[in-house]
Amino acid sequence: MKHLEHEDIEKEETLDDIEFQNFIDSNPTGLAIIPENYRDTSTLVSQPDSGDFAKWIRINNPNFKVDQRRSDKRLVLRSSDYWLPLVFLATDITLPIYLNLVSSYLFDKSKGLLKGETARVHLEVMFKDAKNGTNKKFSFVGDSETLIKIIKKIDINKLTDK
Amino acid sequence: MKFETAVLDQFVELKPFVLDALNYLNNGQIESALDVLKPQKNSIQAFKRDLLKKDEKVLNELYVLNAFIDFLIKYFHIWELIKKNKCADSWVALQHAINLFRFLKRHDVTKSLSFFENQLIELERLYPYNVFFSMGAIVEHFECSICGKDIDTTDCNHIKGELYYGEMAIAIGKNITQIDHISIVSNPADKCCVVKYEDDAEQFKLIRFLSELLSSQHCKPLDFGKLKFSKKIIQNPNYKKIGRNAECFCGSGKKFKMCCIESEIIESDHVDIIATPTDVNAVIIY
Repeated sequence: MKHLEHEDIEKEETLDDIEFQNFIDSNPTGLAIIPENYRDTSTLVSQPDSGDFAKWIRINNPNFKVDQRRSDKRLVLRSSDYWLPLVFLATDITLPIYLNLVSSYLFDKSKGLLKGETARVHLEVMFKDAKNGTNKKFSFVGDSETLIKIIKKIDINKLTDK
Repeated sequence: MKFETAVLDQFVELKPFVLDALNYLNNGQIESALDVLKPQKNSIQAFKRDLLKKDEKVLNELYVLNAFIDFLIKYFHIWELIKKNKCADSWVALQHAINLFRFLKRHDVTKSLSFFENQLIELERLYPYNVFFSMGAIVEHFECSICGKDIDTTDCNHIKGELYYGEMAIAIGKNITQIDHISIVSNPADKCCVVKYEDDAEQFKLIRFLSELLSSQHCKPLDFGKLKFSKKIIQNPNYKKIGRNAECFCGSGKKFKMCCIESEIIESDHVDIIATPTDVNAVIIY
């Protein structure tokens, strides 16, 4: 498992890695929204904007299959940031496509912002690098403008070769 | 304004009342401004009641028009509270007005209201708040205010914050199972969660100065424009000329010559409130 931002750092296998491998092994399509353990909670919790994001994808991009895993509880964070869920991507959705999806979601949600304000987003996504077959995790916290810059910077050939 | 149904006529009929209210505000008669505007909400209700056909677009536009009046009322409240030196309450009124303005902006009706957007942004800068309190909690689910179902699932067809037949879909948190933390953040969902200072606190010096300008008619509410932040060289008001070897007046315990001897003239933060005469007729572009 490698983080994109720290290509040289090897990570120990986590529960997310095992779950992601199980997801890939099931030959899925589309994307899966994964509830997570949050601090000391004993049950699985959905990130604050999980449900809204899933509904937005279904309405605006009905071609994408969205598997929204059930969670027991919902996390509420009274910050104006957008807290997106951990997402597993099947091989038919590449990372740049997913990040563009997030960017469109943020654009939609930013319509009420005042001049000079920017929307900040927290996201985590796991995907299989088609080129070398490794599983990767991409984490991002920042504003929508930075996200757009990152999308442009990502070496599409490196990440999306099938 | 972007109204496409019969609500547009309602909005046009509202124009003379809005202009009257803005004129009252600018002349310091804020109570009269509110007296003109508040009954207009009843007119909207009457129009809604008399609709023969409950068309969703018409009902949604009526909701937005009603929010526009609510915004103006809240905007007038800000000035009323500032004028009365109720600084802490004026911050809350400002945040309520901004939230209503965000709603109007989201529904694409604020292109003609940019005057207010600029003013609200500048007003916010006069207050001492940069960090806010924000709560983290865990709830069982969020119930949709329209259909009563879990708003985060496909059982519910409504989207949080959108309008349906003149009603906004609101996500109501059900069964808080855990208050997890209170954090200090710079970008909260609710900027009203702040340390509350007394109205006469040093932190509200700029608001009280604006209040003075309003009371003395040196600045009318609609003339309040930009703020210009700068540094100014001033005489240090705390400076005391004492013997070089005496203990410094600042309380550091050091000798004066080793401490504040050079601080007779200091650099101080300075804010200019720039008032620009504003034509009331140009505040809202119809």
